[in-house]
Amino acid sequence: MKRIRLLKILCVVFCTVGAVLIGAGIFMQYRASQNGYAGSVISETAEFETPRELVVITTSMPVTAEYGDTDRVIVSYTGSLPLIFTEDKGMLRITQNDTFTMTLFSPKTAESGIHITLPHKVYERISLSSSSGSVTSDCLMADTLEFSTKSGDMRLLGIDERASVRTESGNVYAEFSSFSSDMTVYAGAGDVTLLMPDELSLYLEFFTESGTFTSERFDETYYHEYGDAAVIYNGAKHKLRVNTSSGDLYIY
Amino acid sequence: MRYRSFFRVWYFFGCVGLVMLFIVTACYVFTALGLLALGVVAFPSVMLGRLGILTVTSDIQSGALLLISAGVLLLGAGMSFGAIPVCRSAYGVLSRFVKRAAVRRERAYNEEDTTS
Repeated sequence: MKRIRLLKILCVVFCTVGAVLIGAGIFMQYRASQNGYAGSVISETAEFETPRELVVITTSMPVTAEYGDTDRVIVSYTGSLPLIFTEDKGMLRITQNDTFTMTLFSPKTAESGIHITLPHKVYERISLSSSSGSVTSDCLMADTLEFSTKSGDMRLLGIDERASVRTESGNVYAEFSSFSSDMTVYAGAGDVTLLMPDELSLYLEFFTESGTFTSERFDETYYHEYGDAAVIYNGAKHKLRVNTSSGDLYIY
Repeated sequence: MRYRSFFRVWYFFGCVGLVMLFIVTACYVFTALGLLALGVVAFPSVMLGRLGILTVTSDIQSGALLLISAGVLLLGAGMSFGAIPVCRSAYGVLSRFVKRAAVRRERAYNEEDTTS
């Protein structure tokens, strides 16, 4: 009985002190917002000379890159920490260092992301990679195009067979503008959806442990083993390999 | 017959009340545990942020964030301390109701038998 009474006393004391502290904190925040405090989330826009190579590496921020009517590279982002920009020998490198970072009570960070607007030209190399953020590219042209994520999804529009696409568990959605050579897509546990050109001739090899293959375009599907599929379509000049562990493949 | 009908109505509303009591108690316990968990994560993080070891991003000013996280921790701890008396009281009401319902039912049936 004494213990229950002690618990009741502790409950009342702790709750009262806690409520007072929360009230004081809310009042302090109200005063700070009256004085113009707008939170510690950063929203910035930076401009750079057009590089030959663009490399973007983020841990959690989604990356979107596209062409725009500009003669300079415009990078606008919202995030918890400033991005690190490095310009060296024609290469623009954008990295996110958010080690030992924590976000508390901040709905604004849900909007975090990098948006890159590039001048129209064929670059030597464009590499976009993110750990948990998504990667979106719209009709980018480069001699070497690299896209990679660990768990982030990819949305790649207007790519061709020169692109390197690799993810561990993110979903891949890719629209091909052309396909004239061999290519391999690694997707791990993520599903792969590919929109191929209509006049395509393709030899497809799909290696998977437990994924499934779905397509309305192919008349015949040859299954090597459980889960694996090989498809020859329309003469088959070029080979597309898709490797997944449990991810499904859809081709339209 | 009249006595048995009264018992049934009384029993129905008693059951509804007990379900409400159970839901309120469960809400209390989960709120207490949730606040405690939030405080346990938030307060040390804010302290580490103040010490410069961790970068803490928030829409709330750092001083206010420290007060609020400390408040949440204390409130969660306080409510968790109160969870045992609350559950005990709820259990007391529940067991008393069940016992009283059994007695009344018995009495209602006896009354009915005597009348017939």
